[in-house]
Formats: sequence, C-alpha cells, structure tokens
Amino acid sequence: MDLQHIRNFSIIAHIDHGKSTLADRVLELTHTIAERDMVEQVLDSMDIERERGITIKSQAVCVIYHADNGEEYMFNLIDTPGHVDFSYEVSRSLAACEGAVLVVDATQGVEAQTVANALLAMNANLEIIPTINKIDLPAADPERVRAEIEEGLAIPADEAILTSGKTGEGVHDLLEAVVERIPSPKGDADAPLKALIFDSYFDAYRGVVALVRVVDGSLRAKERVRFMQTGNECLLEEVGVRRPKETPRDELTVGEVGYVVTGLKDPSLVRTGDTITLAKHGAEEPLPGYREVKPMVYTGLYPIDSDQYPQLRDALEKLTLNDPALVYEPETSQALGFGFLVGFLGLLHMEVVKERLEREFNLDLIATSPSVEYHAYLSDKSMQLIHSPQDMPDAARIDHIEEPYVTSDIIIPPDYIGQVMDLTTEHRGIFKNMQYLSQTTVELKFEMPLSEVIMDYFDQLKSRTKGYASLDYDICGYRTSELVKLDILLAGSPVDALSFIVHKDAAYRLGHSLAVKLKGIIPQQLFEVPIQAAIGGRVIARTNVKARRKDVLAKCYGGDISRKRKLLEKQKQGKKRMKAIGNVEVPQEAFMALLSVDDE
Amino acid sequence: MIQALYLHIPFCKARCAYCDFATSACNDEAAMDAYIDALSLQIRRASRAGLLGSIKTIYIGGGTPTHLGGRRLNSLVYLLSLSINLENVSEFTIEANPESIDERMVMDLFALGVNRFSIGVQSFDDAVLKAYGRIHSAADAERAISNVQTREENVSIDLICGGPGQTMASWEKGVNHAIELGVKHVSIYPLMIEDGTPLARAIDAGEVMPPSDDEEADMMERAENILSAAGMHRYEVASYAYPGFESKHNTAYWTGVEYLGLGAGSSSMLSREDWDLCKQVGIFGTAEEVSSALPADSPHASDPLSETNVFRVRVSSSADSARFSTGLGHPETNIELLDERAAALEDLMLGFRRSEGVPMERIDHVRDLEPAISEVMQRLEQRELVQVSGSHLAPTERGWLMGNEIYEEIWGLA
Repeated sequence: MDLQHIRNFSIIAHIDHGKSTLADRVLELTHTIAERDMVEQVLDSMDIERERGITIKSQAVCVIYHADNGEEYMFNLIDTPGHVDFSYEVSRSLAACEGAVLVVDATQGVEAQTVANALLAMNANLEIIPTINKIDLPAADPERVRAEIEEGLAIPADEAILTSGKTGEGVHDLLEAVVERIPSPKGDADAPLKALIFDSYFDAYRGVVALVRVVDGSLRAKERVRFMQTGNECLLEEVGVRRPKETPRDELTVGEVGYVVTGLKDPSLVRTGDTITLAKHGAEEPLPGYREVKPMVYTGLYPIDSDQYPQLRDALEKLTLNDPALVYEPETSQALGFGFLVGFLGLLHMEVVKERLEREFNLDLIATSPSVEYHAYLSDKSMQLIHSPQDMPDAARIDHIEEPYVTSDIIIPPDYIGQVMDLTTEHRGIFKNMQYLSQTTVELKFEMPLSEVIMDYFDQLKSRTKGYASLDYDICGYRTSELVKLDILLAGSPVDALSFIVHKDAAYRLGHSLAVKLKGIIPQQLFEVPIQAAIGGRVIARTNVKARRKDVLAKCYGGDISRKRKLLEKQKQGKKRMKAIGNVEVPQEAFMALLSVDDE
Repeated sequence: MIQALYLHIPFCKARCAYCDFATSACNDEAAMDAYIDALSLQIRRASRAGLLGSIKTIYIGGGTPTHLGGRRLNSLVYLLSLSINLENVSEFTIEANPESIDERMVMDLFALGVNRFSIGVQSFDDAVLKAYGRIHSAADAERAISNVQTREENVSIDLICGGPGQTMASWEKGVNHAIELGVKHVSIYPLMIEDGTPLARAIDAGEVMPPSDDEEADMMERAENILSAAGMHRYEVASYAYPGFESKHNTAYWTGVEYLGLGAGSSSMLSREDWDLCKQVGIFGTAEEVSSALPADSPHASDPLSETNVFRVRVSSSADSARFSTGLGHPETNIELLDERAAALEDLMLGFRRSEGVPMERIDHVRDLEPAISEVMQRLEQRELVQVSGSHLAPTERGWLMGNEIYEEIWGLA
C-alpha cells in the first residue's frame, strides 16, 4: 500500500472506558470480522484479560476502510496494554503509530491513566483524536468531559468525536476522522530496512512471532535479518498482516504494520523496542527508545504441595515464552521449600501471572509478600541487590540501604484532597504539586517509596475516595531510607517466608498489626501457637493462637461411617490449601497478610 | 459371616430440634403397620437365604422403636426369634425414649429375648430438654430407667453435652445422676449442629447461643472424670461402661465385623460373598435397582462387581420409608465398593475410636497393603495423638478429644 493510504493508530484509554468494545465496532464496521463471528472484545484474547476488562498484551489488526471520499485505506489498529504496569510496552506500541484515539468515558471523565496515556502519546508526537465514549449512558456528560480534556490535557476538544461502543453511534465519524486527521506514515522506501518490534508472542511450531512496524525500507520473507540491540540474526520464515487472522504476504513495505515469523525458540532474543534490519547492508543506527525491561516487584512463588515444583518450573517457562517481562530464578525457603523468586512489572502483572499459573496449570501456590529491589550498601562499599527479605545482609554489615521512589500521579474530585494527603503521608509520600484539571477534578503529585505503593496503598486510596481516585506512577530514582527486616516467629521459630522489609518507624505498628492479623488467619492447632514479631532477634509484638481442644465425630456407628467419611473428606480439602511449617498448619493467605494489615 | 444385625425404625413421636437422622414424626398407625410388614418380609428373605445363621448381636434402633407400641414391637421381636437362633445371640438391644416405654413393654420384650435397653435420656435438666425439643421430662426418664430395671439391669443412657443454655453445674449433676440411677453404660455426645435442623436455624437467627468447642471439651473431660471415678471406663470415644457392660453390637462396628442393616435408612457392611447372596434374594431391591445404585464413576460401571478386587461392600439403603413399606422399590440406595486396602484402612481408623486401640499385628497387616501407613503412624505418635500401650497402639487423652485428626490422616490414604 502506498504511504498516503496507510493510517497507523492506537486506541488509548483509562481502564474500563470502553476501548476494547470500541475497537470491536471498528472491526465490525470495516467488515474485518463477520458479525456472527464476533466474540466480544476480539482483541483481548486471554480469558483473564476478558474477565478483568484489561489488556496485557499488544495486538495489531490490519483493516481495509472504504472512506467517504471513495478511496481505500489500510488501517493498522494497534491495541495497547491499558495498565500502568506496562507503560514501556505502551510507549513502544505508540512509537509504531502516527496517531491515537484517546477514549474518555462520558460519565467518568479524565482519569489518571487518561492523563498518563495522553502524555505518552504527546511525547511520541502522535496526532490525538479525543473521543468521548459511552454517550448512550444516561449519566453521560460530554460537555463536562470536553472541558476536562481541554483544561486537563491541553488538547482542543471542540472536534472531539462522540461515540458509543455499545450502539455503534459515532464510530463511522471516528473512522473518517482517522482518515482526515491522522497523518500518513513517513519513511524512506529505499533506505536500509528498519522495523520496530512492538510486541511478540510465542508459537509452539514457528517460534517467536514479532509484531513490527516498518519504518524504512521493506521486509521480505526468506531474508536474513539482524536484531540490532541483541545482535542476533535469523532467517525470516514468513511475513504478513493480521486481519486479525495471520495472512502471509510477500513483503511488508515502508509504513506498514504486520508480523514476522522468526523461527527463534528463545523469546529473550526478540525484545520489545528492538530494531530489525537486514543482516547484510543493514542500517547503521537502531531506532531510539529501546530499554531493557526490568521488574519492579518481586515475590516468592511456592507450590503448597512440594511435589508440584517441577510443574511450577515448566509453567513459568511456558509463560515466559509469551511474557518476556517475567523473570524468575530458583529460591529456597526454609519454611516453604523449593520455589521461585519471580520479578514482575507491577502488582497487576503479578496477580495475572499467579492467577494463570493456578488456573491454567492447575497449581496451588503460596505467594510471599511482594518486595521491591533494594540496594544495600555494605561497610566495604560494595552494593548488594535485595529482591526478597531473605537476601538482607546482617544489619552489622550494612552501611545504608536505598529504595526505589516513584512520582505518583493521583486524580480525584477535590472533596478528597484531605484524605488522600493523609493517606499518602502515612505511606511516606512527599507532596509535590497540585493542579486543578477542571472544577471537578484535581491532580496531586507525590514522591513516595515504591514499596509503599505495592502494599495496599491503591486499595486504600480507592476506598478512601469511594472509588473515585485513579493512580499512575513512574520510577524517579533511589533514595536512602532507614529500613529494617521484620521477622515473624511461629511457635518460636522464625518463618523466613513471612519476613518483610519495612521502614524503621512503621516496624512496631506493622509488627503488632501483623501478629494480630495472623492470629485471625492461623487456625487453632493441637497446641498453643505463639506468634511473635521481631527485629534482629528483639521481639516487638506477640500474640497466641489458643490450642484447639476438641475435634471429634460424636457418633460413629454403622450408618454414620459413610456419612462422616464424606464430612472428613470435605475438611481435608480445606486443609489442602494450607502449608505445614514445622508443626503449624498455615493457610495460604497468611503469606499475603501484610498486604491488608492496615484494613482494621 | 454376618454377626451383627441392625433393624431401623424410622418413626418418632416428634422430631428433636437437633436431629437430622433418617426418621420422621409419624403417628399414622397404618403406615407403621405397613412398615413392620415390609421389614418382616425383608427379615424372612434374609433368613431363608441363610444370612442370619451366625448373628451374635441384634440392635433395634431408630428413630424411636418404642414409639411403635407394644403390639407391633412384640410381633417384630417374635418374628426375629423364629428367624434367628436367639440362643447364640449374646446381646439384643432396643432403643427406647422415656415417653414411650412402659413396664408392660419391658416385660414382654425381656421375655422375648431383649437383654439390653438404650434409653435416649440426653439430659436430666428440663430446661435443656426443652431447648433440644425433647418431649419428655427428666422425671419421665427416671421412671423409664426404673421400669427397665425391674427386669433388666443392662441399661444404657445417652447424654448430650454442650446444649444451648447448659451450664457445667447442670451437666455435672446429670452425669452424677446417671451413676446414682445405676445405669451400666453411658454414651456421651457433644451436640452436633447439623444444617437444616430447627436448632441450626435458631442459632442462625440468634435465638440461642451455640456451645463453644472449649465448653464442650470441658464437659467431655468432666464426664470422663466423674464416670471413671465411679468405676466405669471409656472403651470408645463416646462410650463408658462398667466392666462387662460394653456394647458388643457397637464394638462390631469398630472392629471390622460384618453387619447387616434392614429397614429404610439402614446401613450394611458385607463381605463380597454375603453381598452376592443379598443380591440373589433381592434384599436391597431388584437387580435393576441395585445396578443403578452402584457407583457411577467405576471403570466397570456396567457391572462394577465383576472387578475381582472388591473386598467389601457398604450399602446405605434409601431412607424413603413410605416406598420401603409399599414395596415400591429402593430408590436412592447408595452402594460403596471397597478393595482390601481401603477396607483395612477403614478398620484401622475405627479401631482408634476404641481405648484399647489397634493390635500391632493389625498395623503390620495394613502396612502390607499400604506402606505409607508407617509414616502416618509415626506422625500421629509425634503429635501425641496415639501411643504404644503394651501390644497395641492406642489413642492418647488428646487423641480422644482430637479424634478427627487421627481419622483424617488415616482416611487420607484411603
């Protein structure tokens, strides 16, 4: 397709503002998918994504649009992950586009990720088409939302398109706006090949398949190419476009978006943001913006049944094929046995992965409290990375510890300013800036430790603002903090999997609340179970789980035997979800208790 | 060889607040007659097939057998005396409730061969009896006990601890009173709150307070102290007796002895051979009914019994007494097939309900079938739930109160 008739764009939105439904309507209107084949939200392909209404992988679909001016256009619609955990992935997808449709819910208005995504799009120099969606809802207030877009995002909104993903209203206008307002791609068909990888997935038969945007030159099947950042080479087995079914083509020309089959079996060789060029006579410089993906949050994952360790290893291996951002290494816990320390892009990423492991691979897992990457500077000036409380060196050897800080960006109605200030300060947040986006929305900026954000900060933020708050955050560097390792002892023995790293000032309060919380979670056992919280051997809080005294079937005569057997089997099922640590049966949720310790 | 026979009488004058057993409040004379006719037919069939030739203990339970009234009971017991050689029957128990047993009934039953009476006293505190929904008073219970004692000293009573409103003082008084009245056997049960019972609903509605586990444990311990001080011994988790008065029939349930249950809602545990006999003469219904009652998940669903490894068959017959009575069949009968290993594990678990525990050679036998048992026994010993006592492995004090921990571990292997 000639450059003039190509439009590469993305749809960006805050979660639940109707992005995927709108994308579905576009596919429908361009007859890409017959109506009868429509599965709701075709672009979100994983079950968990569909259930949670979020996208965690990028997708690209090529559609042909017959515009009102009588000409045919190739639209490449790139769907991006909608969550803050995946902002690098979003930025690469946006780099493959010339424009973005910014979807804002007509009832919710501008929210934190609307702002974050709009900023990303502006930084990528994209033409933004503001779109006010869900106008069919009775509570829709397009005028207020228009004002918020203009004031808060500084995007002229008088030409905002009004749509309803549900009824299809306005979708035609939107497609026309894409033709008229989004620039066609620029690029040099004769220059050496440069193609941007903005996502990839793994196919058991064909190896890694990468989604690419051809920036210069063209890409042909059976050509030998080089990945400029990693230096690897491969022979492309196939190239083509997704409609959304993979449709092979002889070549992808400049400006086009499509897929390439690499045949590579190791997904780490094909990285999002890398540049593909020809192995011979290739380009000199890779495309800008490449970054190595680094996990932000670490947690230990252990099978409840230690026999499932090999299955867990295989499952992680399989998941990494499609999710190279997932990193893991074996870890051993005295309490939990063999498991893995797993690094994630954020909490949502962690939850989704854990859920997939349990659901798709049928594993029963214990996840330990999440941790960030701390830098411990030792007395001998060397630096040690700490991903888990277990890695923490002896206090005597530590000179100081640094922890990652983020700038957090919170958008709320002004009524909640006080609550959010209080909450964030409790979580060691430092207030930086406040800005009214409109009369009804205000944006607060804080700097705060990432470790505080990954605890239950977001849940509390939601609950204190009756669900109105939205949050976005970005790492802003490492700072020195007075951190200590808090240990939990059950029946006198420290349980490594229950340890966590905490700020010195919060240690007493957290130690006490956690001990109380665990008392409620750990069921009565045959003997009394003392629970203690300790710092460096000094006990700072203690409680007891009283011994259970009686657990017996009253009658057990002829007729009772089968009946009671069923009862015992049911009880046993409940116990399967527990882990025996020493003599103490500990339920799964005990290991995540820290996350909700402030609930009471 | 079937050594124990159980007959189920699924009728009561009124249903108790905590009850979820196979029984119903029934005062319909014709329905009771029809039931006894059907039960008699079942007994005669079993007898003709030679299934009753080795019976050593008989237990008529319910429900409330004495609610049938003297005429029906007498004819039932008389039929038994024709079908079974009562000379060989060393224990013949009938369950009775205080409101429905009189002196005349005792005389007749005793004359026909009944030599043990188990009376559902439950409590000697009228307020507690009311909370249980019992329709008799403490005085009725005393009268019933003395009525029986005019003919037969082998009297057992049931007492339930942990009832709503029950205090430790009232409980102690009741247990002591049992001793004073001279009963030979006491069964002590903690109250179980079963779903769907009026008591469960009252608790959910906040009308009465459920007993706490700790209170119940205290009461069970207190009962043990009082009863053993009086010379009784706890020979099973819930059973106390003076030496020689332990229930032989109940002991059969805990020692792997084959038993046959007749009547609606009764249970049987049979060897494969005796099961085949029962099937031939249609004790548990027609061939079609039996095959539909077999476990559906068996790999040999068409005829699971063709499997050579079936060692023991458990039958829980349908509780539908109306259909039973009219001979309309046996819907909802449930049949479980156990192989030798599962049967051995079940016997082992039941063995730990008894104070003498399980002989070492039995554990050796189980080990041949299931090597993992060694590890389980070791764990139970470490947790101080069982201990070596002479040639047996027996439950500890804690093992009594925490019996489920033992049963779960063992059944976990089955």
